[in-house]
Amino acid sequence: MARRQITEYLDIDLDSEMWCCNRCGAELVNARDNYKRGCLVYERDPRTVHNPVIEGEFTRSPHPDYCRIIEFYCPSCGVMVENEYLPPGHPITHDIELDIESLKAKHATAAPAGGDE
Amino acid sequence: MAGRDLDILERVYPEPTTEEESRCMELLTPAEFEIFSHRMQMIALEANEVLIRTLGSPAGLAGDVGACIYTAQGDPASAAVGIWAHAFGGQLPIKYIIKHWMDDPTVGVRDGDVFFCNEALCGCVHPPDMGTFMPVFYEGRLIAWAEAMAHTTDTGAVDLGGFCMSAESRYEEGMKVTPIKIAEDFQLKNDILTMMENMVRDARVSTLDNKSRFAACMRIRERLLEVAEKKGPDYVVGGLRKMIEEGSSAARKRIEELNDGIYRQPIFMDMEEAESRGGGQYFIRVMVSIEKRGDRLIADLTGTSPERATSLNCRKHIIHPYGTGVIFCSHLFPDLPPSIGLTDCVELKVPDGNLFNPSEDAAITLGPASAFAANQGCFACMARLLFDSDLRSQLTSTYPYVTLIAVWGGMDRKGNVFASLGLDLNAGGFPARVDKDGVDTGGFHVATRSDCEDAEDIDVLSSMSYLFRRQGTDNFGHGMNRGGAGLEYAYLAHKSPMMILGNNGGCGRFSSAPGIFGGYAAPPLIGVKLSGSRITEMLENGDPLTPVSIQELLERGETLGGTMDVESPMLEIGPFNEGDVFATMQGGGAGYGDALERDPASVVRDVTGGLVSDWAARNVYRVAFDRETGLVDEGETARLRSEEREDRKRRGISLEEFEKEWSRKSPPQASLKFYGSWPNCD
Repeated sequence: MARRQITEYLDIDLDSEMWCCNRCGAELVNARDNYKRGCLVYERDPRTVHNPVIEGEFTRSPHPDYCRIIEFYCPSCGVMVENEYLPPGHPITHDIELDIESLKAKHATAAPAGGDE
Repeated sequence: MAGRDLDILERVYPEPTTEEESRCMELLTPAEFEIFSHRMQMIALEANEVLIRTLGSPAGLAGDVGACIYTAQGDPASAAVGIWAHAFGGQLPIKYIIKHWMDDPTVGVRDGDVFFCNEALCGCVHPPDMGTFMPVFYEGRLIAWAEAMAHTTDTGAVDLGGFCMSAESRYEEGMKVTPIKIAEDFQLKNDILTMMENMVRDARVSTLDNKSRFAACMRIRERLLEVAEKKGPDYVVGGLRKMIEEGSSAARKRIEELNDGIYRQPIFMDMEEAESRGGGQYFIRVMVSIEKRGDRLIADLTGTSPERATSLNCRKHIIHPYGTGVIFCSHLFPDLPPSIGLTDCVELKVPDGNLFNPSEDAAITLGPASAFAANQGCFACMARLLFDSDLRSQLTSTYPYVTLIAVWGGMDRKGNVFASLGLDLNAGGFPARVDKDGVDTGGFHVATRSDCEDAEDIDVLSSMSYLFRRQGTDNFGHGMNRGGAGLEYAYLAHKSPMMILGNNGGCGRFSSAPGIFGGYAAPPLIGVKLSGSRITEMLENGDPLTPVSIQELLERGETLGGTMDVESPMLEIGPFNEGDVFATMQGGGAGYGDALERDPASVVRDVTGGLVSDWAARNVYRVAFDRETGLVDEGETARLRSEEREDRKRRGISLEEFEKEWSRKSPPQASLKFYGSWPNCD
């Protein structure tokens, strides 16, 4: 078994059971955990991504009282693995919770010579 | 209560195959089945075309329709759209008719009958979505049902246009008809047509649409009988059931190949309360969790905000199969003939009292907007599910959940009364894909053949004109692949005897579509109301400073005369007088992937085309280029991007450290009044 690419920026190493960065190969965190725990996290003012086109309450940029951008980076190469737009204080989403045993069994059967890399 | 049978609403899965259906399926060879399947598709498409060409409602003309062939038991076997909710939307009303009227001596189901229904408690979507259903008999034997559904733009509700911003219960949502016979012996019944005309504001459209739906059902019947005559009725009965069973089998086989696990996405609907109820912003959370096990998908909406006293409530049968039909038929399996079989691998979990499982008396006319939010969450979950699979090319980022629907009414320039809605919602931006950008002004994600209608049609059918229509700048999510731009547009009251206008929508402060895999979300939307402007005079004089974008409206504010208000896109229904302008936009598609990985030449192309601002090119994509020549400075771009990646590593902290501070924050309390318990809606 080898690495499977699970998202644009995330691999899982089926032998070590680790989330890894697809771009630089760095290990992030255990594959049974939320991959975001292996990333660097930054709370970003939405006005630095969506330029306000006018002053006031409605600007075409998310209002920072209601919305923040949480960015997750690979600690090794700095690629943005994912981001979330959340109301301030809303829990971070555990958005991918793979059944690792099932994944390993599938590739032990389907691809004995290695994964997709 | 009499007339309500909520058990029917649970019958969203194919009925058990009968002995007769099993016997008939055996009669079709694989080659005959392929020919039959194609023939049924052509029949459904023909009926769909009949609708689009003959309906009176602007929504119908724009493709807010569906036509479907059902088994004799009422299971959707072959459909064409329009909107999948309409194609599959006859399933529950037909099952209601079979259960309650088939053996009732005062009603019965006979050759030449056509039934009508628009009652959500009998399985329809919401009152404006009206359907007709016709049994197809061959020599006295019921072999199939024909269905035609289309959005008719007024129901006589408290608000015109069918969408009721101000309704607090079903009793303010206008005409709601349980399955009733609208035709007998192949003739529409004038007493029923007259009754409906009497209940709505636009009688012409009501009857024209009923005639159109009747015609579409008749066309399906005619074509099915041609097949039955040539090949025998067993061929039809067996073929229709086989379409469902083969679809189910093929879909499950593909689902089984996907990675087992749980995939989650919260969606935050950013809404504006009506001024009549005190005004103010509020959040509704839609929590989508998709668990994939073997050949099953469990879609769980637990954690969604509770039912509330507005029409945003949505009945769960709208989510499945009508909502999942979009995902399965249009996105996951566009190569398979569309039938209810494609979706029967989905189990839906929705707790009682949830926004998607409200009480019987709940208002529901804006429920589709909530369903779109659930769909949006599903697309994000499906992207995570599909990436490591043979279906990777089918994944997308997310569509905008906010579909701004203008409703209007008044007197047109010929003196006719009208009540209708705007079809600009059919020009939203589509999401970025795994290997390419989203389609600019691609359409409306649940209505794959929809059209935003010609500006000239609106000019004729109402008493206003478009000041402009364009693809908005930065009106999408940035990313390695960007979302498609949503439509930006402005209405101008022009030579208007009398008109009122409202706009259903929100999302003035929050993103309108979350990105995927590091792609940014689409931005919030705004509504610009300019009252008493001199723009009509500017147009008459050919003034080159007449605004042709929202940016120009904002920049030239005082020079345009009148009073300008910049708000969220939600506009309460009110007078729209000569010279008034209302400008807003449809949401764009969300982005895919890290914006620093976008091809710099594509960024420059978009800047040149007016789709990406200079600001975003510099600050989001970090591209250096010569504005005059359009040439990318490759070296400087690489330096800027490397600098940003290094900066990310400097400013980022661990999630554990981040959560210590983050968990102490919250949005304004007033925004949580309808949210449920913060933060998880437990």
